[in-house]
Amino acid sequence: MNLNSAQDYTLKKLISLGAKDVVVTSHSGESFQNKFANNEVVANKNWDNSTLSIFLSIGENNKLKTGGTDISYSNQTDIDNQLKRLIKFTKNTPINKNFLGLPEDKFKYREVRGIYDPEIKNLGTKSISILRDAIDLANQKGANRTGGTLSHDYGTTRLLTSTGVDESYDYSNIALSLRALTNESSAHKVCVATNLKEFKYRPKVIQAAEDAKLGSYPERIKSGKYDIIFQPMAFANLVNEVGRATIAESVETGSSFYINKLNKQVTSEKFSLFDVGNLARGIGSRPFDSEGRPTKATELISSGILKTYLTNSSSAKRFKLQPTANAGILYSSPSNLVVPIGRKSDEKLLSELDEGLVITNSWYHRYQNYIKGSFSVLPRDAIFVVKGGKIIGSAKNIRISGDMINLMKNVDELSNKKEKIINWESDIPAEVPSGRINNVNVTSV
Amino acid sequence: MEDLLKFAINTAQDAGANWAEARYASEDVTAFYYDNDIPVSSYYTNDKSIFVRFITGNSMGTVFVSEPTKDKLGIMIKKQVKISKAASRINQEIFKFSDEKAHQKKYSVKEKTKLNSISDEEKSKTVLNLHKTLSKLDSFDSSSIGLTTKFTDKHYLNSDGSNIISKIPEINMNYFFTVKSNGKITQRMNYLAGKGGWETLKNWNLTKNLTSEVKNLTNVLNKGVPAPKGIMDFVVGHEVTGIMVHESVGHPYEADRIMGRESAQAGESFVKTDMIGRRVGSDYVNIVDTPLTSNSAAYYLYDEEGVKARDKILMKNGLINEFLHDRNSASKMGLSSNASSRISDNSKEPLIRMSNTYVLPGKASEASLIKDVKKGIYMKNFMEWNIDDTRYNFKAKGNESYLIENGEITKPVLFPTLEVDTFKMWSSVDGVGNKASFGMVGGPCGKGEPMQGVPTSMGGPSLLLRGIKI
Repeated sequence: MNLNSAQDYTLKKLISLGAKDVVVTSHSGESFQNKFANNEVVANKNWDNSTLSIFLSIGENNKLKTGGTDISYSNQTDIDNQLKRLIKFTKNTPINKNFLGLPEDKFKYREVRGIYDPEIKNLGTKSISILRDAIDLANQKGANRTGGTLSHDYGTTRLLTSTGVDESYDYSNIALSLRALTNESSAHKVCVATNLKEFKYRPKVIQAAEDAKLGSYPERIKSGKYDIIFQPMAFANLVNEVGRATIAESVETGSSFYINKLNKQVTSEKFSLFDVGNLARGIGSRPFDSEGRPTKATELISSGILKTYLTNSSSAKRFKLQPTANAGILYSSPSNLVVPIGRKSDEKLLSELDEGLVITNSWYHRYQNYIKGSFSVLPRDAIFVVKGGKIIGSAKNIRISGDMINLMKNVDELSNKKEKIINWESDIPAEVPSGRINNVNVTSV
Repeated sequence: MEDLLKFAINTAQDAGANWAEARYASEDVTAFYYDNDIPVSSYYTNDKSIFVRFITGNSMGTVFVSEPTKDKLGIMIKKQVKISKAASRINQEIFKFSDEKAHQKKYSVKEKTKLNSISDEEKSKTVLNLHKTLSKLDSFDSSSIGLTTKFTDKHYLNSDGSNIISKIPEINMNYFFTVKSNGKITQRMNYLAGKGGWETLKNWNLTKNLTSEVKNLTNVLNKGVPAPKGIMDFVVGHEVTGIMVHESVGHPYEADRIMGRESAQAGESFVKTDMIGRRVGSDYVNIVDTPLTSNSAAYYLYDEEGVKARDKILMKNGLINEFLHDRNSASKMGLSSNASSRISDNSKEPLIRMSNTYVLPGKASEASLIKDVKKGIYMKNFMEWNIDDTRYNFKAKGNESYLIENGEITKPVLFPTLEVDTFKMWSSVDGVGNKASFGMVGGPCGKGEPMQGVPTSMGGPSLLLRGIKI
């Protein structure tokens, strides 16, 4: 059985077996990754991404039991056996009071512009040429070594539901993640695009090499309070934390610092945040969410005020909010986090910094208390020391700590240029500028 | 299935690979996640897949196929060998593996009570009952608890002639809860894993241990005093010992990290290849990584490259003794692999990973370590922790912690911070407890691109650290 016919069959079969809500999602496509280290291509990976995933509910309204699985779909007998097991499995679970049914509306969908480029599907060995060029360029511009990945993937996602949704979309993306290393220093940049035309990696590679060189031979600095410019990689990591805290289910489980904060000030008025599920050429864009609701732009934080949580249909009902079309059927998830830019250039932000630091990247953001938002995070890669609006050196071995609410209330300025970021720490795609944050607690070992 | 694995290896070699391996896995997973008393997610999966890896001169390639068929495997392997050959042409260095003995073995982990004999209903109720027990405690606020059982049936072949079949049952549990008392809040997060049957879960004594954790944290909230400042001694419990070992010894001794293979994301290491024999800790410190402990989180007898597992002594009397190696890193250093190659699931490339990493016990009782402290902190466990990407700048923030005054624990203390560099931390060890325990904190250990979270355990006895700035 091919994937599409197995998907059609699965929906009909589950309904005939007594399921109430059914969502059958198929993915087909491939992912590729070329990993490089020490200027050498150390691994060339290829994944077949074909999957058939099922969510279903059984029972009466407001007393629904839910279950899910991925199934093997090559032959009908196998499918039948797996679906019977899924029904039995779901019947044996208790009632899931959180799930309040799929949306019944008849939706209209719009194509999301620029999320598929067939050229990416046909990249083949061209990925190696891109990588060679990136490595050579970084070394020409001052790196001693480079490491990272060039990843690309393409595919089709089709959603089929018991509420009548039968929609699909094609997607593609390409991402270069490159860390340039030299003289006890390093700098990391990512270049992400949904089409080859916009995949302009060379300026990012040059910036990584130049920043690494500028950060050479870092020195220890004193612990204390610093005004800090977070460049887009580092700022995206903070924005990811903010975005996760807006998820309704995070609020319910005590893993958010935005509990009871709706319509209250949670950041500086200089900061706003949108989730945009239908962002043109967005890495996390798709025309519909996992329940079949058309995606849209949602203003989460408006000039410092938390306006809504990110929801699916069920969590929207529980919180008495409008659904934001961010299903995950059982747990909402952000799509593209977009921070509107400020008015000043990056150069102006720096020139206005009398004394402080520029952080180019960070990692290992961990919480002592999610509800309070008390955390620490380690800057990594180049950390520039600034005096009189100019970079005068570089720093090492520092840690930032504080609480997320106060930190984000101290956002003083945003630059007028944003970057697309997706990375280890920022696994939610983000489009963010640099952010200057005042009075940040820094410790040094 | 063996025929399909042989086909994959032959296809890779016919296309020009000079070495190849293929791995079939059937991964049967059942999972139940509760937020308080609500079963927010219940699912099972049974993935059957083949992963193939091959060397093409100066580079390496991998292919992952779900729903594997000869046609699909053949097309993908040929395509990927071509890409790997293109990469090989631009590389300078020959991609080598250490020579290792080929093994033909079958092994399995025994289950006293088979995981598949426990009904889905009972598994689900186990999680729910744990929540119900905690919710009877006044200070308990909320919980998120997840239980996963997994049975992996794996068949590994490589072109050296290894043929290894394993059948491994495992259980993982993660919990996160919030305690509120005296106008204060604290949270606790933990992760437990073991290879074995349903008895593994019973051995964790979850009801008793989590009840005790809630009560002890409530006491900290009710009676805790602010953490003092200054230079003082720390006695750390086995969870803190474990995270110290894992983050500042296990990770930086991974040879791929030392040699820069993971530089972009997981990072590098303050340790360099010529540092074997270098002092980094006091004489008291001996640290071992072993996958051979029965029923442990990271138990295996053969690693993911078919190499026979053994104990690795990472630190001996405070000196760096051995790194963690796979066949590639071992070859680069002129050594044999010590079988540290692992995967999180069948879709991922093998990477050098820790297994069960711990400080060997010494001779002192924990009570005698505490008695030896005039003024200090006893940090039993922690919540927030992190370390920089060379594994030098370490921090753990205490959760259940107490003040030590004149050799006695006097009162709870609110969330003290242990923030210290790796050399200072291990050099300051002035006493090692005689009783080792294992734990796992925070979740599976992450590394790689894409990220691979593998179960590891970490621990050891209580340690006495002298002269730490707080």
